[in-house]
Amino acid sequence: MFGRMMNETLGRIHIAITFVLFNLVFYPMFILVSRGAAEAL
Amino acid sequence: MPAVSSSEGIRSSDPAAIRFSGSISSVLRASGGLIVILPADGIDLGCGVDLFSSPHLRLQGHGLCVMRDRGPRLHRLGPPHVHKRDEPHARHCLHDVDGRDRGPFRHQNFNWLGTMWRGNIRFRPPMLCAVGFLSMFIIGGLTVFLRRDPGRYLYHNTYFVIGHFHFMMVGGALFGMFAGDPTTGSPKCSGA
Repeated sequence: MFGRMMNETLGRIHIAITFVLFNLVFYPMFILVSRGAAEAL
Repeated sequence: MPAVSSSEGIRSSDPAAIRFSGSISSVLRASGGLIVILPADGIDLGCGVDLFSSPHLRLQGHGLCVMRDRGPRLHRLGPPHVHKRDEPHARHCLHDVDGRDRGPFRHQNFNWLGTMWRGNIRFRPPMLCAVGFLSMFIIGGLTVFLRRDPGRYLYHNTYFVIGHFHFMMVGGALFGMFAGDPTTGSPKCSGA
């Protein structure tokens, strides 16, 4: 759009961080419920 | 190669027809319900063109995806298990939809994996997004058994549903947007 490409290294870092943190946030929800957490807020 | 835009082109046995009519236009035509998954076509834009060295597999996989995706069942792709079953209209919705209409996604996962299988994969950002998309979409798909009756009563209104939803949506939409737009997609689209 502006005649430039974005930095691929930063893109890789961004994807890795997104993937790891997303899993840290949402995967424990499965564990919580499987161990008996009753209801969401 | 000719770009086929009619609906008959998708059913054609011509691989070129499947390829060129298959990626975005047929999904747009087939359903408004799949609109959330549409950004994942950015993965096709960023990786499928230049990173897959097995074009036959790619054509086969993508064609299968497209053909399995079409049909009247698409309008039921909403997430009824997210609603509370106590609401009268939601109760009707819950009992109206069974797990079988998740079939296309199930096949799609195999198709995507089969597309990458033995390909010459280079892990540029779109491909990383594609791999992240696949892994999270499979986790989200494995947790879809909450659509069955026992699962509805066990899991409704719990964080299990929230986790499942975000694995599906972040996998399907967010990583698709990352793959398609920032690094490769927008320069290709805009011609820059």
